[in-house]
Amino acid sequence: MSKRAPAVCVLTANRLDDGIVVFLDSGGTWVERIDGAAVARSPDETQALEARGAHDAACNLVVEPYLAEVHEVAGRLVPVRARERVRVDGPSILGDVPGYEAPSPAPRLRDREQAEAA
Amino acid sequence: MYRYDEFDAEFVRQRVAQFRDQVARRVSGELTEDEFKPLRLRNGVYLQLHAYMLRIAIPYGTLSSRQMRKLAHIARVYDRGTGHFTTRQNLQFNWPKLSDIPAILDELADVEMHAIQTSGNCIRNVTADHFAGAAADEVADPRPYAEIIRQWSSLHPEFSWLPRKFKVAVTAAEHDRAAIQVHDIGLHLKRLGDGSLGFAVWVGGGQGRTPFLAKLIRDDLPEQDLLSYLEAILRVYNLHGRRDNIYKARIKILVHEIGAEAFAAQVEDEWRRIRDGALKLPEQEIKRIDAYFAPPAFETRPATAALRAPDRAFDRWVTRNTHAHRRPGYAIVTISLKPIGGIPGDASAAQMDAIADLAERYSFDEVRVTHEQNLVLPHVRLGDLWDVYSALEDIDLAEANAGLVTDIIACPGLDYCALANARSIPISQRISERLAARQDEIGDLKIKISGCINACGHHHVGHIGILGVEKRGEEHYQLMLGGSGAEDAALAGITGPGFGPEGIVDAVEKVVDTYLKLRSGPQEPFLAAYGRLGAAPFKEALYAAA
Repeated sequence: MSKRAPAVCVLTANRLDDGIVVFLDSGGTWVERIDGAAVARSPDETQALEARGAHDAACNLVVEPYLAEVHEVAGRLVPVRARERVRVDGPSILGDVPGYEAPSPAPRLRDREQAEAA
Repeated sequence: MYRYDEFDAEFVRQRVAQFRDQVARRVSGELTEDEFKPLRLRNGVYLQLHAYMLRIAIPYGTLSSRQMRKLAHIARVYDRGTGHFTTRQNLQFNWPKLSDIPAILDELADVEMHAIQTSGNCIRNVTADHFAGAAADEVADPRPYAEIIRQWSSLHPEFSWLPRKFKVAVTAAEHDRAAIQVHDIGLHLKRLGDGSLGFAVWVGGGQGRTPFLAKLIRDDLPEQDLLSYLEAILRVYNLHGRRDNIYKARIKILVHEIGAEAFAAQVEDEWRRIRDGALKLPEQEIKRIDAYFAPPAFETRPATAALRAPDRAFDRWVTRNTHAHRRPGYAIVTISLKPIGGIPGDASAAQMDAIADLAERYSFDEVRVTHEQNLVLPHVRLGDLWDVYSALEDIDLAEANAGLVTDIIACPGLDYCALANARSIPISQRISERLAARQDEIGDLKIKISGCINACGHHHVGHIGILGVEKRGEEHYQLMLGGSGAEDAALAGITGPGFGPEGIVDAVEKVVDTYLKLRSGPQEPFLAAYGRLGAAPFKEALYAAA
């Protein structure tokens, strides 16, 4: 867990079985997209998220949960650090990977932005 | 090629079975992540930014066609269709499921491969000159010695928990293609004064947060004393290397802090105690291992054959991507994994299968992996070059850029790596696209990019090095000039303030333009011009207008 709790944050981790990036949503489910992630805006909410992360790690649902600071921009959650934005969007170079076979048809954030812009 | 004996096969299968059990216990909750992490790392399994990553050892960078096809199969079945060749002559898969990894390791064991000691504070995969056994300028094939070191270091009980990881590289040529001076131990196989084979031993090199070039501590080590001398080095390091600070735990720090002479004296003391013991290499054992690396059945061919076809692109490719072979009528072929704008080191399953076919048909069944993230067909008849080139064109891997400015080393960076601070691959792609049209004019120039201070992209020894850092949460890049990982090894110097992602490609182009303007002529490569001119004109070009 982080040493200093960020002001506005979400809880993220990697799924135990396949290591895929997940976020804790407001219903208490670990999901692949940040959109519905539960947002902590106060120390109490932050503490609750951290406790849930520790619990789910102990239950072997996820690995290495931590808080990621986010901005709320026009109703969307955008991580503050570049590192976390890459975790949300996936590798920025997948379209260039030779022979890359996408694992799932579910669009991620970057794909949806491109679709909306088109 | 070396073939597993019964012991090798048995211990690799045992490790797979053990790891299968460990994964099952992790998934069931019997093992916590803290308990499991050191076990998975011992088997090459990392948890990266987006998924697990499996790092597979390719000892001294040598692969058979069968092994390459197996890697393609694994990419296709268990990953997402692609493998990534690394600067340690390894291969990484970026998307395996944890629960699939035991099955992957079983498949690897079928072709005498594994992922043991590709992570952890142990002796890692031994690397070697990628032209070994083929190069005209080597005194002997260094791979038998690399194999002897592999056998000695695999599961070595005394050196399984060193202060930090430990990397050994071996070369047998005066022109150092294995970057031995930036390894924990670098071995240069050479002829000693009496004409016998022996080693120059370099110790304490490395990159990372605190880069050092290795120090030569013995110039005349007889080959039969190789293992006892390495054991002595490792013992001194294991005893005195720091365990209190991970950033000061590598042998380079120990050698630096106590001095190379004092370090060498301790090694010599220990060596005198053990040199005539069980680790003395019998001549027949060296010969036994050497036999696995016997030259293939070369034909007797004329020294010159029709190298060129009426095709300028082929002509360029022959000029840049072939290298002198020790046997007349043959060439060493570099397959560039750096298509313009491509991802350095990536190969699709289809490309790997096609390269396996080429190796089988044209190169005595051998492929090599280079620490510069390319592949090599080591033994190609000159008369077959056109066919090889044409086949590589069909799979988009015929770029004639070996050693040129677009032949960029880049670590996975922030696109994949949990340790990274900035992306490396997109920067390399943009530099490649920007400079491709002028790469022949620019000539030999090595750009190396790392996404963090761990320096997997070897930025310290790039003629132009780029280091990605994090600055207030955003990606930022430091620019370095004048490094070399070859026999003229040097650490690059930082030019000054860094650049954002939007400015780093322009900065590299300014450096290149300055070189083109100030070089004495096309015969003066970048590194020579930098040595003559110093950093000043490049800094002037980069910062004067700011």
